[in-house]
Amino acid sequence: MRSFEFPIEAGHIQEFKRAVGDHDAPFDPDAAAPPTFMVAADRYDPDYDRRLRSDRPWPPVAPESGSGFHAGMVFEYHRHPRAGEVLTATVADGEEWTKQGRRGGQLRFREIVTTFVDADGQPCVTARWINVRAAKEVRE
Amino acid sequence: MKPEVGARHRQVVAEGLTRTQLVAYAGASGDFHPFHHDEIYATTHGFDQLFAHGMLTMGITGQALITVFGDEGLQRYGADFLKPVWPGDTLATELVVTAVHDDGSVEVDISTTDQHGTQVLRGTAAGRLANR
Repeated sequence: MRSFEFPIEAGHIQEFKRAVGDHDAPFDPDAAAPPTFMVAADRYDPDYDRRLRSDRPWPPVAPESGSGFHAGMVFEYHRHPRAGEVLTATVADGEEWTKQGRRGGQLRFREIVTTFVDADGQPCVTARWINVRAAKEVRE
Repeated sequence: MKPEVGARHRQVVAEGLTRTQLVAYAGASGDFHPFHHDEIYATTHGFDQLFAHGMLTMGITGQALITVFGDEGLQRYGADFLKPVWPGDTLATELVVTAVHDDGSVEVDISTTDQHGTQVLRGTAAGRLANR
């Protein structure tokens, strides 16, 4: 488990809205975060590896390493944060399960749960990142 | 959209998705995985070309949810990423009300398809409709 701060910045919200298709989104100092904005907290996660880093080679994870793919995402909104707030994000492992794939192999699903709370410690948003990869049978 | 089971909302949420939008999303989200901006890397690793982040498809689909639920009406939004979305794709999202609750909130099924009719994202959402 790890925690970091996520400052909700109006310019960042504008940039994000434009990127997801609201191409003319104006700057709004009181803007509410759009539905999937919490994923942009990754910018502030010191352990996030989908960015250039001085301490790691690029790219950080090759597909053949078996890291899997992002299969889905769930957001639960207790309320919608607004520009000017500073949230605290806590990242933890969630549930794991397996499922039979359409091609016969077994798929292993794993959740990463990020909980965002406001300055008063009240819950704002819970985000569940669901990763999937082919399960390999290990024989020793 | 009316708060009635079976009510539908359909919206074109992306027309001819550009590589530029993928790069803009990488910058806004912080996700610079090379699958989504580096054509050589993507083709070297078995793909025909670079492709959109699943979270970009989910964010684009969110445009239809904002139309229906407003900026702060959503209570839950979940999605599965079914197929890659490629540069040039045009995406349309359809929302169908599946439940209406006594407190005024509704549940919807979500389906986003490309210009070939292939479903690229499916999901569910819940919340209070805008202007209600």
